[in-house]
Amino acid sequence: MCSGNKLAAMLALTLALAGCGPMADDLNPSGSDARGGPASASAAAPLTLMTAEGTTLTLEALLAGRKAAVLYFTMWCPICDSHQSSMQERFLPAWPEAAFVLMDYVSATPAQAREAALSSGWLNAGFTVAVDAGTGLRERFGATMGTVVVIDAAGNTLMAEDFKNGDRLWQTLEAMP
Amino acid sequence: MNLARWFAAVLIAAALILCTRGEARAASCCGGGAASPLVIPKFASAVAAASLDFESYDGYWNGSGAHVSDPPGSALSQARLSLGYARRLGDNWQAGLLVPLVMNDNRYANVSSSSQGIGDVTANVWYEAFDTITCVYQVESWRDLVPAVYLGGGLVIPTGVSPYDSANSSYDITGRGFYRLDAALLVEKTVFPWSAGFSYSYGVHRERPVNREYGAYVAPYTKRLGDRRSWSLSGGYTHYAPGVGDLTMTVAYSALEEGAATIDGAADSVSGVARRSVGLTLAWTSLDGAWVGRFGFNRAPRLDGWGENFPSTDIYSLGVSHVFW
Repeated sequence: MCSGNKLAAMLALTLALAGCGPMADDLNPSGSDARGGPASASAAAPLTLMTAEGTTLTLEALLAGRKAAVLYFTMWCPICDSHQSSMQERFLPAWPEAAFVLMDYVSATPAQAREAALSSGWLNAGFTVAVDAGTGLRERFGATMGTVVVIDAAGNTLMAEDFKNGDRLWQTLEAMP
Repeated sequence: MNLARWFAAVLIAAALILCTRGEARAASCCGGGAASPLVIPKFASAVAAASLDFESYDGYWNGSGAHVSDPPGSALSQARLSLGYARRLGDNWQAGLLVPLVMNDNRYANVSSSSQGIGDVTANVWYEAFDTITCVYQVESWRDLVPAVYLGGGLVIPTGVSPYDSANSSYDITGRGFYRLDAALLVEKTVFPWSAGFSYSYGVHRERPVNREYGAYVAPYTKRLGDRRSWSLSGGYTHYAPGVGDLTMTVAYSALEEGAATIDGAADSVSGVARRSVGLTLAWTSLDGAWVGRFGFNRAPRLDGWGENFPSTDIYSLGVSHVFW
């Protein structure tokens, strides 16, 4: 009786294929620190935002005396919404010295970003809403859905990674002088 | 978004388990045939199945359960081609493997992306807690009310592209990146021409280390997705068409919940999802029971309270199964 032979062959083939390339990272994940050295602040080119109101905003104008800008890259999705709610409830009251920006990278115009923020309940919710159309910020920070970027007043990038549960963002803000 | 899309794929698979329940003919139902494209009918030796699912996205539910529209100018969809094979291992034991190929297509006003790749593979083992056909044409004693009961286990293998490997965009995600072990229960009963079914599964994810997010190495941490529960209720009606075979219509209500994930052992309060949906499946079973074709439609109503932290989607499914007797 050959019961199970074909199944075993299929499973073996699948795992063999899956063992190639990026899939191996998930089949046998690593917990080693592969960042290539201690994380450090990196100087950035001057930052200019296009707001959902259609105005341009420099880093200096955004901060207006505050210590840092927190850019959250959103595509108005469930995970984004969850992260944004966490920032609104946990971070905005605790970090008045930071400017929080919802960076819409899926809208093409300020008007679309405004409409997206309005329809999802995030307009006038304590964040500055900006649109990444033509500003290239997503590429500059290697951002995707849920990426949070922290920039200090000198223009240094202190953090650029997934929001997760927000603890890394909290630690980054807390570590600022 | 893609993370949530994968949830939707899993959900429709669960829905299909119920939706296709009544599709088999008398000799093969009640034992199977119909419980899933990959559940072997009683006394058959194997099943091979292929299905093409097309899922279109239309808004989402936020953490409060309120339904929210997608951004203007967006058109999001995912297609999945799933190939499966199940083999009988013994009189009451069977095992199967399902391999999906995932194709993502995301179009926003400012960003467009198309990608494809293998998804997370699922391996299943089922024990049939019954020895004979349990379908009846009429109820004459309490024994005629005994349903077909399956007890199962499943393993989700993270063969897809997850946020924790080299993919540098959320649009390229085809898997979740975690092993998951499921325990499942299927109950079905047919009193021709009517049938009813219930399914429940509980899944536990394995904790894993993470040192990479969207291609960029980060400070290592450990993560475990929350436990996953899903259940579904279905009812069906079968019409025997002489010279054609059985035609079955099934409606189903399905629910899925996943608890909060943990990061470094601490609960991640921004995670956890829920989704409820309804489905309709039309199925044809050939006269000899060797072939089953099906078309399914699953919808998550765009109403407040039908989900949390989850996209609302429509899923169209077209599938065919071949039963080896």
